[in-house]
Amino acid sequence: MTDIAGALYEIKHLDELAKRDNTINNIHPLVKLIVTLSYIGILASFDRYEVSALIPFIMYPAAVMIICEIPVGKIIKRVLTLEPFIIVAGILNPILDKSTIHIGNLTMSGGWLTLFSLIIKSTLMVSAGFLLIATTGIDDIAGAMSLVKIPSIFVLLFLLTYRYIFVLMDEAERLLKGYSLRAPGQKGVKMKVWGSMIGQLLIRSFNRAQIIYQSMVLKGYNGRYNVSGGKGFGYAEGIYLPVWVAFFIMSRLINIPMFISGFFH
Amino acid sequence: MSHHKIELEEVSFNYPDGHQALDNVTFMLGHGESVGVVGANGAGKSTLLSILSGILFPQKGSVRVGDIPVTKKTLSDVRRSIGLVFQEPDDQLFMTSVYDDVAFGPRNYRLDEKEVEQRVNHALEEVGINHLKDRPPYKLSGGEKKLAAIAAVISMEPDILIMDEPTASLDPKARRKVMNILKGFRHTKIITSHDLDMIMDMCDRTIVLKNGKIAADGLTVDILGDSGLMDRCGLEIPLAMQNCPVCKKSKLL
Amino acid sequence: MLSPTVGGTMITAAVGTAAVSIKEVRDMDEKKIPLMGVISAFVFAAQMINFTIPGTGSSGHLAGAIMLSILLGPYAGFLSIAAILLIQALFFADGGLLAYGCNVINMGFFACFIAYPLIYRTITKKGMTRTRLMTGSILSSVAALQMGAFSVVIQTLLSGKTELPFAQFALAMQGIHLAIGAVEGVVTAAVVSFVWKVRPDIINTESSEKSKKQGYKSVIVGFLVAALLLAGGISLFASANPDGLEWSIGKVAGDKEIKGETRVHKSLEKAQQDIAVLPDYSFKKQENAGESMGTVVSGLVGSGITVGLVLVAGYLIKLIKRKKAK
Repeated sequence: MTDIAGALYEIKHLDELAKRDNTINNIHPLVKLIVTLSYIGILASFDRYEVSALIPFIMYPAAVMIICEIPVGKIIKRVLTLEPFIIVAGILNPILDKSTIHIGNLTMSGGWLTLFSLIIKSTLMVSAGFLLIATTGIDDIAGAMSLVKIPSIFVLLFLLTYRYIFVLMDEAERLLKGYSLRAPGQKGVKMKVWGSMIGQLLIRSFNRAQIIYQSMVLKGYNGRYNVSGGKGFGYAEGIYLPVWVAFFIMSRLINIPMFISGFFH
Repeated sequence: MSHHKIELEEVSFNYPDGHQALDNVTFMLGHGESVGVVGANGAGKSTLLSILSGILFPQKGSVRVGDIPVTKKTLSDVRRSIGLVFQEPDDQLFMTSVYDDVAFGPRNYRLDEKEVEQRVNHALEEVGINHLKDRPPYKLSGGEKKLAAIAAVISMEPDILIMDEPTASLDPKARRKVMNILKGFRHTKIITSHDLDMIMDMCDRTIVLKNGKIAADGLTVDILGDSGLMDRCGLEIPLAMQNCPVCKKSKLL
Repeated sequence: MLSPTVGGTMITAAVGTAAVSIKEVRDMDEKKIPLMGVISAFVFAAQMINFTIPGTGSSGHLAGAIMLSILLGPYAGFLSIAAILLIQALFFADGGLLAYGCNVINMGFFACFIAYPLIYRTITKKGMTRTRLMTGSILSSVAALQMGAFSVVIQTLLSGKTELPFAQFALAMQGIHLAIGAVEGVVTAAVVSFVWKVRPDIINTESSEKSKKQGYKSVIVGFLVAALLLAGGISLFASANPDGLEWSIGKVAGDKEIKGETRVHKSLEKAQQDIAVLPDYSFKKQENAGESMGTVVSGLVGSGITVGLVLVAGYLIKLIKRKKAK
């Protein structure tokens, strides 16, 4: 029950973050999408034993977070909820990958390196995805989608789904409230009412869809919908995109921490 | 511009399950008239609205909007001159920002973005919610949602406004606001509601439906004040006309 | 946990399948878009409801792919899943953007285009009865989740980011998803049969009747093409980068020398014995991590300085912002 309220709150909060007025929020959504995807792509392309070269990549989420004043706690919370999955996938690495790496007198297991690498990478990727949505509203994302020629059917479907999540999650929450008030101390919903409870919600949704369709038709809908393109490209876009992409590529090609420490030798 | 009138002639409608929702309904509405349609639950109000807006077609009788008969062929023209505001704003505000919702209709009529913007701004101003334009509909209060839904219809510049329960589940202030805005419109108006005080305030004429038939059609004051008629039709005279709850004095003279 | 090659190929496959579906939906009935939107939102909401699983203390929830196929038909169902997963990827970072293609294929493709037509439709073809509806829902859900789980195993191993041995990983995944699939199937069956009783018009709408064999064929062909692309991409990637596929398979097999077609086959057999004690395996050590103590130290120092630089940069941005605000 709190699940639903929590999830709703989470989406609404992201929505609010994206609606604020700051440099990055105002950048064209397509540019942000490209930056995010190249960030994730380049990170993913790193070798599994790489740890130190990943460090400079912290720069991107850190900068966006500071410029947009996005609370760090939000991101940490989000990463923590996902961390268990990553750890499960990587936890056996130290045990299974016995390939030892001799470092002077030290002997280190390659498995530990891969585990660290995995954790850092996924943390950074999750943050980047989160920051994309926190700086780009759903309408902007839809606009970017139609710019890259995703058919309007899908864009409209995407927007409608998003829109009615709020309505239906509200309804689901009321249903659950009604259930739990009369069934105290249960963790979930009893099997006997699975069908009728979800079924009710489904029938209601179905009726609602019919009315929505009517209201769309009354407003002239005939199966096609033009999403407006939105913002144009300007100076900010001209700088933002190449700077980040160049930074990512540079960090991919040069192991910056190693490079820096080279000065001290 | 004589699109503003509506004419129903002996309209009957049966649902597939055999339930007769409308039975021989005839009335005519002139330009700029404001009519209340009242009746108990199941009296046929919603069906009537669906027929007026061409969502349903009657099995018998004819409907004319302006001088055009409502048929499947003329539907697109008819719908341009009719604006239906649904009871539940969530059913009508299906986009992710108020602006997009209000722009939805104009965009579908393939107006260019400039004209769309003009219409949207005009519609928003008319209901006084210009400041809400970038907000997502699900974050609005009930009253704001209602106003946004009205704006979404006004932006299509209809001649006739049809409203299903415009004041349902609004708080008193929001209700008053919606009423004042609606009063400011010079469209031909059809309003269905159980809020009889609102009907009394807004409409000169009232039609009472009972089991799909017109039970009465006339001046609002006469009809809503007729406690016998109201009682027979499953209604009550408006609170404003009932005896004062404190001093028990009748307000009807 | 995914390599860009696998992630990218799966996104291509998902986009291809979606393109075919969009074409089908457009040809069939565009009016269905609002219904699809609301039903997707419904599934999204239904996913949030926890069900107590009888006999155990735990609870499960719905994924909804088979239900969407039953309600909307396979093409619209697939598109709805794609929309739901996109929102989840964006807002809840579920799996992240890189995994989006994999998720769509794993959860949507197998359910809508294999389990639904081959199992559910076949069972209910002779006419709807409550029993057929229930069996169809349960069997197709279990099958869809089994295929999806196996696909996850393959994708993960091809990506070579985890050390999990194939046999164990596969066994665990299939087992867990057998249970999940059973719950999914029972919930789907319960909901579908309830709705069928109350509002039969919702189930088995004309759309699912109309769906022609033609369309399935093009989807399946599209998928095969994508799979070939995947195979091609992977082998390219593997030959260029020994730590990718080859490495992980070599690892599981415990013998890097095994080559050719027998490799996968052998790896299946040998995995069991081999994970316990891995043979001496140290070809990686010179390449990356270096051998001398000095490298480690300089790595640590360099990382420290980099983090420091990031912090300073962040502080500077903050300072500039504050000045601007004044």
